[in-house]
Amino acid sequence: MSTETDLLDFARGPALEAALIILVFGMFWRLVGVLVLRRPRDLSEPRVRHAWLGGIRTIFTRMWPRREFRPRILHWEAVSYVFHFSLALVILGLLPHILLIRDITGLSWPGLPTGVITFAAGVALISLLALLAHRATHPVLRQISNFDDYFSWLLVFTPLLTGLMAYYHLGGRYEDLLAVHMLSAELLLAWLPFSKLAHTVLFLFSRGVTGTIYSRRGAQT
Amino acid sequence: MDETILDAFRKNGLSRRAFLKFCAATASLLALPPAAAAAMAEKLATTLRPTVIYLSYQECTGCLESMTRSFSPTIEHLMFNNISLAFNDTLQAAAGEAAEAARKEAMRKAWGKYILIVDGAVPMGAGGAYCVAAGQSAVDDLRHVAQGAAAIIAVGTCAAFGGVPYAAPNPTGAVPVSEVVRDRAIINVSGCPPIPEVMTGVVVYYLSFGMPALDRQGRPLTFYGNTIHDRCYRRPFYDEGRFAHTFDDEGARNGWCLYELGCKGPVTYNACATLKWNQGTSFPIQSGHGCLGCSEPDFWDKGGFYRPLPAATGHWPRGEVLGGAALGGAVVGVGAAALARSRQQAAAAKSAKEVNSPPPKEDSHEH
Amino acid sequence: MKTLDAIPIRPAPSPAANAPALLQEIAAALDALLLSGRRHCIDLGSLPLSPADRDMLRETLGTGEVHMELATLGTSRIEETGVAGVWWVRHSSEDGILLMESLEVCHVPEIVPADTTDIAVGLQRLRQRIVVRASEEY
Repeated sequence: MSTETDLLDFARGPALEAALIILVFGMFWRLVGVLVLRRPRDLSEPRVRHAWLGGIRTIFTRMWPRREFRPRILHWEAVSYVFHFSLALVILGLLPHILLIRDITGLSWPGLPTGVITFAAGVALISLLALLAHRATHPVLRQISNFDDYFSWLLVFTPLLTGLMAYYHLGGRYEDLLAVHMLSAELLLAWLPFSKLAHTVLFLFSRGVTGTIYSRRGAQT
Repeated sequence: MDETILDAFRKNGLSRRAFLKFCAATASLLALPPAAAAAMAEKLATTLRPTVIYLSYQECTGCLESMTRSFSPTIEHLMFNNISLAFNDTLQAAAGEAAEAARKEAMRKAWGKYILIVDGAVPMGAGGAYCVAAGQSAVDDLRHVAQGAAAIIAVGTCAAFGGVPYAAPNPTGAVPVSEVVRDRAIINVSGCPPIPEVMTGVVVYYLSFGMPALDRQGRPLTFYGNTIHDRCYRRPFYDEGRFAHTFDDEGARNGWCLYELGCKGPVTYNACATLKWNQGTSFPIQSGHGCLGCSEPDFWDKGGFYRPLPAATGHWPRGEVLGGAALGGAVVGVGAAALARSRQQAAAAKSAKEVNSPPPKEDSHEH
Repeated sequence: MKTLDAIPIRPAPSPAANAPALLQEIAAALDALLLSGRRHCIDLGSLPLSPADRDMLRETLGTGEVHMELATLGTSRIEETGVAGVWWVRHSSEDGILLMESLEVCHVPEIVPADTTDIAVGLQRLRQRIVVRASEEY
């Protein structure tokens, strides 16, 4: 019989299972697929003994722009960091999320006060809107942005917004709000491996490979 | 049976004052405005005491036990003053053939006018053979008695939604009353058991004002319009993010929110947080245990009482399934890479041929 | 091992937020009573009243001259407050549980005066008793 929690049961049940399977499957596909590719053979003399150390170092040095580029990009870099940090706080600091992660992986850690999370979510939403405005108005970014860029933005924005609505019971029955929030997050998880959002994992490897190549050639990393 | 409800009060030695007090208390219980008490008194003073048939099928008798604990209006007042309880196999003195004969007579006399209260689910398996009394299966009996009823009240989650017998794997083919009697609205008073005052309050409401406003599941909105979460006194702790992590830890002792311990309050509609149990003594959350969601359909099969709401409900083996997905992804990745590499090699060979120089050696530089 | 009483339940302290509005409603109802004789009843149980609200109500309305106890289906207390025409009614069950609490603005609550049918029934009983007494004296 049709009940009030039909959508929520679907979100907590088969939809969650499918999203997680697609996430893991897709991520492994991409990662393994990229790592196993052949790379062009470097015929020059290696300048350092262990180039891969340079690769590791690059992961960290590229976290902040080089002096030459700062005047042009530093403020947007900062906004982007604010967004990423707030998002991490929301995803990893809210107790219901920790409970879900514990259910799937067994890992758990103490949560943060809800007021902090709410503030972080608000900051994340505002910074996302700023980044979107920047992308849509900047003369170069506008031309090189594609469906992936905008759709990924939407898929990150929606769970944040619906999460706030669900927690504070705004805009409908709680069962439906929670279900919509979970479904939007599940859509994000399923989309992640096949889009630019895969940078969540791949950024380590792309920086690492670039750093290794440069280090071998003796360039500063 | 031709006396009015007020006559019945008088016959029991109670004055009109007692009757007015009863109406005032019941109207307040039903969260109706005080003017409704006057309307109730006016109506009930001229309403004939209706016949009530109480039938129990696949149930544990918990609902009837709960009903007899009602403090307002008490079951005695209900039985002697407001209704003529013509049949209830637990409470009545008669048994066997005499009881069945009395029931048939009461039904015949009041055909089309009696109130039918049903308790328990109805098994449809094996032609209804899993619940047979006096030679009649529950499903046949219900279909027949329903025809002469002016109103049907399904009391308890078993009668309203199937309840315990309906839970997986449902070996008897149990169904709720609404699936046996499909041609009319059933008043579903769900709960496992329902709060006593809710059960008796609904009966009195029907007598005074007719069919109450029902939600999508057929439950009276007066009592089932809000979730437990909406009225929970521990809500400030939920809003702050203060949760108890295990039973009897510091958070639990401080009365913090039980969300993490599986409380289904946010998705459960009932009056427990306001009316409470045992004459307003307490309710599960106040006593330190999360809400089970017992007034909701399928609450037995929602993944577990102690699984918090955000947790996954499926019982799939996490490690095996996700490990398999990882392996599958890796295999596809290797396949895709192998394809890419052969294309790379073919392209390199082609360009070398064009330049007319031997192709480079098979690249062994894998990171 | 902590006992039940040692576990604190801390309700947030709240000011008397609803009482002032309630007092205005009572004043308006008294006005209507004087103008048209219309009665008004406020169910206190249905309102979110904090202890501070109740204190303010009790203080502002004060205590009156009339205290009545109704003993049927349990006890009920009907008291006129210090403001004539404003009655505080408390209905309790036989087990002493408070069933309903209300403020009635009227000349006298409807439950107080004797009902005509009750009087007729009482008269019958009285006449019977008079007859019985008369026959006993002989």
